[in-house]
Amino acid sequence: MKILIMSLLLLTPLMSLFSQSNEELDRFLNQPTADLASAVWLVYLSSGTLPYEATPEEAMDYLMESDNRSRFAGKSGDTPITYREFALIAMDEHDLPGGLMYRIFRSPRYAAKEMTYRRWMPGKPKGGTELTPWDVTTSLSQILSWKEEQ
Amino acid sequence: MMKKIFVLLLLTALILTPLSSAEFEWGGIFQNTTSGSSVGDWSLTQVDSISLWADLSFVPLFNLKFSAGYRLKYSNETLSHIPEFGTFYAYGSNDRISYKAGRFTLKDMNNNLFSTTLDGAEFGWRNQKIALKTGTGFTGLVFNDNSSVAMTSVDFQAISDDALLASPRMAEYVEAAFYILPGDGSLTAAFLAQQDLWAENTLESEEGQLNSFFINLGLKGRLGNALFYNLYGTVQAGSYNMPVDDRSLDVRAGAMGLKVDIPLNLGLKPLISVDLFYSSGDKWSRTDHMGSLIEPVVSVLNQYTPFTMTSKGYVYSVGAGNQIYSDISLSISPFRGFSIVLESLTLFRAVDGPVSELPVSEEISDSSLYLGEEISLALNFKPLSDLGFQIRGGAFIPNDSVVAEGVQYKIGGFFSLSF
Repeated sequence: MKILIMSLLLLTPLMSLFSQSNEELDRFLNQPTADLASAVWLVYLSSGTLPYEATPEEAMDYLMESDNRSRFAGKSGDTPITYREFALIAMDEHDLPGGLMYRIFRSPRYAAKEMTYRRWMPGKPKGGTELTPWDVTTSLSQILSWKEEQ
Repeated sequence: MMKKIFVLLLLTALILTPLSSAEFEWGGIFQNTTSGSSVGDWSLTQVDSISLWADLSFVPLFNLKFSAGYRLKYSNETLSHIPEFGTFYAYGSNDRISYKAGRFTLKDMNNNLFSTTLDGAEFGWRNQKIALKTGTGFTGLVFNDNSSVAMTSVDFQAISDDALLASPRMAEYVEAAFYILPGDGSLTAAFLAQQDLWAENTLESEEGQLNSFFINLGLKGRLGNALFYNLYGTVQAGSYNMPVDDRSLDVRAGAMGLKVDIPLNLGLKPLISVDLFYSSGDKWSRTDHMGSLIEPVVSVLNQYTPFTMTSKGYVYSVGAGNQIYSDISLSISPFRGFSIVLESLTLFRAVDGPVSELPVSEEISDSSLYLGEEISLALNFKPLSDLGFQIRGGAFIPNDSVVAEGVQYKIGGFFSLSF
């Protein structure tokens, strides 16, 4: 519950986006680790890639048709999302600037390095770390705040 | 035979099981430094280096870190191939304790006393008000080019002779930080002891072993939102034993410093930094800053000799010991990723005696303590998170009644790419 309240407070910029999806968000925030489908769904909603009515399942379908589909082939939506995976999708969908190596290789590794450098992810998790819902929502909140400042 | 295969399989499983659950991270950095200096005669120095690091995380209390690299250096018309083996250690931490064991960099909490790569261990404990740190290690297995330990003429001679390994010394260190000052400030007290392990039978006349300890007190924190300070003082004591000459000298020395950073909430994000430093010295009865020639009448050495080399200046890199300086810099940032730093360094010596690096001698120098002034300008550009450039130029204007050479210049460029 404490995590839920903290996350909601941090999520002020995101909340307006998710007013129609509060139940889904509650379910997500109460999980111990962030699942791939919900994390991707939140990235797509916050970037405006998918409409607010979209569901996590639709977000997975979209992911599997995107340029990044090969990196997630065979993964189910229930799989915990790693920092590298989240970073790649978040950087791509929010069209965030990366370093020289990211621009050349577009790899999850360099996406995660960039997010850590820019402090778009709280703490300094390693690339393979399974993210918590709090990590995902805080990170998206920081990305949206940064974009607003630009 | 079956037994051996079984044991082999068991060992493989024991190693691979934790490895399979480990988090692996790696990275690297490529750096290039090019500089030209008028000191001595105009000369070019070019250094290219590549370093790789890897981090294997198992559980919070057990992880492994490794780094190594290679440096190609062209200086004085000589090309050097320099291997680097900087770190290989186990580490871990929780809310209260932390440790490192292996090859790593041991340093004091506020970076005022020492910082060196060594083979050993450190242990830390902390709560909200107190942090304790203790460590010990041996410096003599580190490559000389990767080491910052050089205290005596024997150490410096080994460096100039291209000895493979660094000065052999044992170090023991303990420090306590008390977070009791306003503005997240801390009061620190540190003790460092080091023993010189050069074998006596390798020493010649006028060469010695320096064994000493250091007591360091410091205050670090901020006043309000716009002034960050770091005030510290160090006392050094010990002995300098010259077995061939059957002499033993006492060492009584000290150093103190104050660093202040003032970021101003204005356009161009100006940052004013002030760095003041004093370290005690010896008069000309010690005819060499490194301590290779000490007159027989001398029984006490007062020159501050830090455990690890610290130096100041861009044109000349002047080491601590018989050194006083005032370093004031102004940094501005016209746009994101770009900064301009203008720096003024005023150098003095503490007493009329030898100093490091500068061409100062008893025969040509008068008794003035003022050594000279260095002005430098640096342009730093970091267009992307993993890409950085710097262009820097400086001029040293000497006090010509003390320093033999006239105005000296240095200009250089730096480039780095992380991957």
